[in-house]
Amino acid sequence: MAQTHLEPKGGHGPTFNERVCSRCMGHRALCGVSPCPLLMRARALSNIESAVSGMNLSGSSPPSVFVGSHGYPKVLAGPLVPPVRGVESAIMERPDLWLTKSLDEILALRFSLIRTKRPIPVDAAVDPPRLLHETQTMALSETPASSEATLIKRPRFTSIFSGRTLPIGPSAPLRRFRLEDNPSVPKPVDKVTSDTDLNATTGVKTLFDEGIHQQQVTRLFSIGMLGAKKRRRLVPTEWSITAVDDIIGKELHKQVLRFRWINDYLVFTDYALGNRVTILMMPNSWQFEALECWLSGPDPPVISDHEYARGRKDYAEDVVGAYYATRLPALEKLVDMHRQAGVIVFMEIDPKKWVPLGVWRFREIARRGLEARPKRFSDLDEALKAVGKTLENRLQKYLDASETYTQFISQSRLTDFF
Amino acid sequence: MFHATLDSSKTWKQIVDALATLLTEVNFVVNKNGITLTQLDSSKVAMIDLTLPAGVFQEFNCDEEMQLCLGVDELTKISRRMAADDRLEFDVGDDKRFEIKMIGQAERVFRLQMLTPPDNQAKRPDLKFMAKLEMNSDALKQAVKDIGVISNHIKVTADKKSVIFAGEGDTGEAEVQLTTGEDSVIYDLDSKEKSTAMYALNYLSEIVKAVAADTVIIQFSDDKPMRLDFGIAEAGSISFVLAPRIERR
Repeated sequence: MAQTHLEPKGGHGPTFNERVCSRCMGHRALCGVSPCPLLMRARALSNIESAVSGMNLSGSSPPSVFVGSHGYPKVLAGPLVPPVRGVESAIMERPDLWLTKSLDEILALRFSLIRTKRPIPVDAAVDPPRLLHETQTMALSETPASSEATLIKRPRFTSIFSGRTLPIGPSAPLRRFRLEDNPSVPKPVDKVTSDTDLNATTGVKTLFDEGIHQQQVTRLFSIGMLGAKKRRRLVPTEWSITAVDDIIGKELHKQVLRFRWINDYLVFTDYALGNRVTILMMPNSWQFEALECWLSGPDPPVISDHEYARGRKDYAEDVVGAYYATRLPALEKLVDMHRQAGVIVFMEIDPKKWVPLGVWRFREIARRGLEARPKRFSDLDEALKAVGKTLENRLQKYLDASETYTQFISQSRLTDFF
Repeated sequence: MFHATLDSSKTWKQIVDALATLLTEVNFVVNKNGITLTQLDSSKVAMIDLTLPAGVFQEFNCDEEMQLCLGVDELTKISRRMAADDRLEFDVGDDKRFEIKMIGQAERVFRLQMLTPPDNQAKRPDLKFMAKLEMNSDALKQAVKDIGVISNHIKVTADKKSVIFAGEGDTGEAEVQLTTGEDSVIYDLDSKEKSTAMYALNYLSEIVKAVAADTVIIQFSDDKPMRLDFGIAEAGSISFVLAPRIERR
């Protein structure tokens, strides 16, 4: 049976405190338990020490790259390479195919990737040195690329999780990196990345329109291959994920504003990996609110961020990455339906089943939920009742925190008066 | 065919800024009398009604009524490129493009693709109001900002002698009271009885930002829409109509 609980053996040992773990990410020892139980488990899962014997690493990268944010504007960047060869590694970079996997399977996949790193100033992307150039060439590929890397030290587990990115495996400083064969580059990718007059935003939109996988767009954005030549930069992976969600979302937002309103209330929901995502669409002009709740303690608080029809200009500071990661699928669905609606996303995280997998999980759970047939209601209260049934926390707690809901029920329309 | 000239780019900028507060697309109706626009915002909560008589423009020619539907983002970006002393020329020819020419040190031309106009035109509302007041527009802007510190809605109350703007939020309450009299920022107040209504601050603060005139006329009734009128470009006028917030059920 697939394991979905991530609990330490023995039952009386340390438990996971999601608030602490989400800050600590396995390397600050905030919970006081040393070594970090998550890290121990990660180590056991990946068995990396025996897989990499010397300083030479040869394998097929999915392809995958990682750009750290620490020390910006001089960051640690490099390709992620597993110690195995073959096309199977592709799945290591495809979170959209992971929802049906167990946590252990996902971690095992990710932890078999070794993060190689070397300090590089972000503006090196303007005129990439050899190693960065080789990494960029690999990022172009849509299929796993055979490569060889020479490491300076043996790979070690240090910080494995971040709030937003996919889990990261053991890391090691990189001396040399070489691709063994030519990458297979989709035509639009070649066209956009070699266009040094195109700005990054337009580049992202073009790639998305051409059907390039979001993971690859984010990768190209992060490794500094989009944008006008002189303005190309390395972008820390966690920032680039949200940037791409936002750029594509803004584009779809413009289209959605031109569509007719939906007529009924629609409720979509899905659950995976300890996370519940429920989406309520209301007959209204576009507005969006993300409500997030960690199910800890007797009366857990709900945090929220929202936007009205014109979108938002500042960063969603409370819900952060998950806001943009769920707004995108909601907009995709509306464009698909050719309809406009007000959207509220309810997110619930069960800390007992939780490890920091990155915001992709919300995006992919929302996408899968939106593909299913929605429950349809003509009455708001009925729709809310259906929403409430999918959630563990009290619905009223969410509604009290919701800005757009309050606006929706208390704001009259001019059409009511003439 | 449509041709018009405007000596002041500042006036045009004010018009575009006012439209941009609520709309993402504008749909001008142009005929021989001038330019008008009557549009609901996308959430149907607020409305803009703009009238620019032909006299606002130095030259004005329009041989048949037409609709000019344009994206607000584009209009805003173009108007940002205008220099303060540019003279403006607007043309719509046979190619169905909206052409804006800026004549200053250089002659610059922008041609904008027109969008498909919406099917149903909003009607000009026929509303009766219980309270009417004319006030200094800066004082209104300040009052809206004051309430915005605490609240996300603003409650307006008018009686024979005074106008009160109030709001409450999670952290407390705020109130701004203005009374009529000499040196008052209220120039005129006509309220037969006490009227009270509540409006969303996110709309109202956008709307008052667009007020470019010195004085503004506010009209409202108990729990009914508010109408805000002010002049633009000497002979032109803009009015905003905003639906009230109703107390929670």
